[in-house]
Amino acid sequence: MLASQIIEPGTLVATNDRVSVSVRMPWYRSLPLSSLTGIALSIDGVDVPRESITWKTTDGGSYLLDELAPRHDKWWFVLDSARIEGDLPDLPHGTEYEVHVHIGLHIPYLPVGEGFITIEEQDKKTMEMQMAL
Amino acid sequence: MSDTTLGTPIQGTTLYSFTRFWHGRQMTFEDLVREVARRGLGPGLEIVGFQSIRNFPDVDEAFVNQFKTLIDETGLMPTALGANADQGLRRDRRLTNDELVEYMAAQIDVARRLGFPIVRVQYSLTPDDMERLLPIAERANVTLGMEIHAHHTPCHPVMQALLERYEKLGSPRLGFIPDWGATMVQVPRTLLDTYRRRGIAPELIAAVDDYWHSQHGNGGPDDAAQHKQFEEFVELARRHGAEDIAVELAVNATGLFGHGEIEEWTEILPWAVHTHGKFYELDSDGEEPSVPIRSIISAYVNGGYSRTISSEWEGFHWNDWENSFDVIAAQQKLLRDSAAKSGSRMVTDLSEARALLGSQSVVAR
Repeated sequence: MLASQIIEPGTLVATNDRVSVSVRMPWYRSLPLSSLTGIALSIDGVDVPRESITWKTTDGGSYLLDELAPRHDKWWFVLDSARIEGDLPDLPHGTEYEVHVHIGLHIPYLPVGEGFITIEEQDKKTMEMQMAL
Repeated sequence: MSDTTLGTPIQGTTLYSFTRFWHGRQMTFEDLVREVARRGLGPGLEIVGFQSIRNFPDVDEAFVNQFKTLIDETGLMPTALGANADQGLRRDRRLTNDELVEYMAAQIDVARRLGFPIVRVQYSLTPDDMERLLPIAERANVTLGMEIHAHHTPCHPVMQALLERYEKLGSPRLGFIPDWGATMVQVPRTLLDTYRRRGIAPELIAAVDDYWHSQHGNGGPDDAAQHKQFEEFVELARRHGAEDIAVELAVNATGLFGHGEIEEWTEILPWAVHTHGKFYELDSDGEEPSVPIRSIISAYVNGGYSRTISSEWEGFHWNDWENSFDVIAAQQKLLRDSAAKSGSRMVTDLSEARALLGSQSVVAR
């Protein structure tokens, strides 16, 4: 749902060794951070290393991907952005980059079998990379 | 209610229909409510707590006061608060029944504070859970409505078990909320059109349509049959090289586009405390080709249903080219015409709606 809304245009930012992009939730209602799964970011087809990725919330929270599952006490409000940040991979110099984000969401009110339905959504957008000091 | 008394359903809207305006930060909560009123899409107003309210169900007094002021200003009438039975909140285990009852109690209390007479609940709640929630609902002066949403239909064992408990308890504070997506006649045409525009193989689109129809006519599937259909849709997409839409297609085709029969609604109408008037699209004649609205309204009117119906547009999942307020207005025109053709009418006046609901405060079953 609303997959084309995931990547916020013009929000690709790099520092010396880190890169981040701002994202929206591909769902209609707030969900706990424990719902997040399968977060992935790649730029021009080069994966940002999974273990380097942190999930940054608008209230200043910062979580490694493996730290998200136990955080059913923290909520992602449907109107809030989040940032996916990770180690900047080696990329050819260019003016524009193709950003690809994958977000999976466990839907906590849709039980199926022993688990719950997992929605898999992805978005791809091309944008300039802003350099931050 | 007598067999010869025709129902006069009450018109209304759920803000869920306007998800794109809300999610896209194009309209605030107040904007949405005021626009519903300005366009005459009420008087009923439904919201989903976890969609519309930050920190829900931890709601502060400022929001409560702001909401009540807004309701007074707009002349709308709160109908149902959508609660969520998030049994899968934790990843290490399911919530226990105690935890889930407590989780729901907090949301029921928000309904009480905001003035919603009905709380929509979901099927993670067992008959035992509902029985435990009954005194909480009584204290809060609200009614609990279990949503019957595809793939479920009234005949599904989960809903039949709830009905059995309802009949044993005999309380007017327990009921169902039919969602018309449970009784569709085909996959929405606008979804298939969208797939065409996205370059999905025409053979796959035809196969999706054919497979859905091949599963139709036997009523709603049980859980095992739904699971099998889910796998079949995934396999269909993969076979046609459309891996990227496989899961989405299967989720929608088995979780949104239901195979139930309209007659099933008739059987549980005495227990229907509110309704989600789900629809996806209107054609150039103003008809809904995928949800048989005229037949459903006929069943409602003849079944004596005089409660609220929230127009709920779910076409926004793929339809980003139509204005959701225009679409709701067009569907409500169809509802009114359908009621008229069935020898009755939809109630659109606030005072009449309040009086009508007040007269049914003790449900005759």
